[in-house]
Amino acid sequence: MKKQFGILVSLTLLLSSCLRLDSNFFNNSDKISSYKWDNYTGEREIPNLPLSYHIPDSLFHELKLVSDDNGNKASISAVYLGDTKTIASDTVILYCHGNKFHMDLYWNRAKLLAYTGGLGRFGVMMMDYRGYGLSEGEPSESGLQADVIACLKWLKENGLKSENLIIYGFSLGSAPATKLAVENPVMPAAKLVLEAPFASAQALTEDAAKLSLPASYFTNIKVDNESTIRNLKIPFCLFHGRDDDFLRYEAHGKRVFEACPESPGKEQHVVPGAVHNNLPAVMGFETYSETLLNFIRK
Amino acid sequence: MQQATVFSTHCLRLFTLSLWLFLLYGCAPSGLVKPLKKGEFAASAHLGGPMIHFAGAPIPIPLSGLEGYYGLRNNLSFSAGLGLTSLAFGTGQISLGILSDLLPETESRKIAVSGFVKAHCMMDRWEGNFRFYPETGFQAYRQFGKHRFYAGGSAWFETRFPEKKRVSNNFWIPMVHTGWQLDGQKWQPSIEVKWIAPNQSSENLVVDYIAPRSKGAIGIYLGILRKF
Repeated sequence: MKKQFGILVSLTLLLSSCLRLDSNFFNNSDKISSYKWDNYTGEREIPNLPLSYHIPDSLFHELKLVSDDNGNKASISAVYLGDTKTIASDTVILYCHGNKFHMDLYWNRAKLLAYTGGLGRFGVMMMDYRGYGLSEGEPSESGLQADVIACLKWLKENGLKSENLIIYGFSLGSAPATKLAVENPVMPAAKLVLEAPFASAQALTEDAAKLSLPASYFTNIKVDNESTIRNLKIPFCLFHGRDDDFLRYEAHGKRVFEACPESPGKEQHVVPGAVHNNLPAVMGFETYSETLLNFIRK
Repeated sequence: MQQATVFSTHCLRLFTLSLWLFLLYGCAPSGLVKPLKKGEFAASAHLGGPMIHFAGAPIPIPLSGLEGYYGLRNNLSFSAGLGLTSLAFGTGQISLGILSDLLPETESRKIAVSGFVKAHCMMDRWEGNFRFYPETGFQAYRQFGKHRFYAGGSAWFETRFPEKKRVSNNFWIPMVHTGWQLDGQKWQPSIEVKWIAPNQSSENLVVDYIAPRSKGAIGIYLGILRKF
């Protein structure tokens, strides 16, 4: 009997493999050879942004930065919209995009932010995480933060003051945005904006499974915005689609919003009719920009 | 805009799609419908799962498992199952249960009813997280020569409820099923259709389940049972 039990245990261990879904967390499957920006013909976030939202060449800067993830260095692509000579006196929105594709997909979002309060009112920086777009390497949870840190270092080197730093995280970008807004590895941020954040890998799992299955059954990713944001001490603004068909407000945004009692003057905007990726369009571009502007100025 | 939305939500879909896999392993087919005779052994394997729309086409999520049975008495069988899909993710899942005839077939009663209780235990190799979910169910079955048709219901129950940290307050996953088995001397192939979680809306989820009125998911399973 002991022998049979031993065989059964051995067989189980032999069959037990290391299949994990970590890599599926990152959707960087759209490989490109160059960024097209306005000329990009593929899928876009907020595809109906009017042509009047145009970024002149003088305010457009493509960058290559070195990101160091615990010794794993990668050259990442970034873009800065604004006057690089006035960063020391400007307010800058550091935009951390979602998990799909690359900066071309989010170009209209970056332009919309650049027009918040009028073109040039704020500088906007956006990057492709390692493995995305033309950024080298493979995406990873720690890599996300390293890549955003590389941007923070560039902004700091160019004179940005911490009271003028706004970190904005959309969907997956909420993970590095939240962590860096709390931990301040390079410079403290003045304010945090999250749009359609997810609460945690565990929340994703439970929301999908309807039972209390642990996230560890599927992934080694440990993202936990809901826990991280408990230590947030700066103003926080949440945007979330009431009808988000992907990350439900009740399961994610609401939990994140309620988890940061020490954030002074936090505010949330739950937009009826908006799903995961069309909130600015449903809210109206002007209303969205005004709301964001009011939060940054207050 | 709608098209862009649907496309974009695929971004995390691959991740969460597989999250459902594990839960729905629990929605394995019945395997043994009629209890074995005392001292009899049997083993079954099954393949299949909930139907989903993926990339525009309906496909079943491929779940698989093995189960062994032993006749403790003429109307009481013990079962032990192993989830192969979960094992591939480094999570061991075993299911221990008993099946009994609640209303045995008689000369005057052509439709018999069997019931079962199972304990599903899972633990991953990564963090050692353990979960236990009880399941209970029944099925009515009728024999037409070598063909056995059956229909019934079952449910998994949450054991970590209530808990503040939980996202979902759901405490059970009900299922209804119907199927056919060929009652061969040794081999018993089967096919089963199961409506999983008909009490849950499958709208606004990251997986496009195929289900009546967007409730739950319809699963299709193929199985083979061998008697020894």
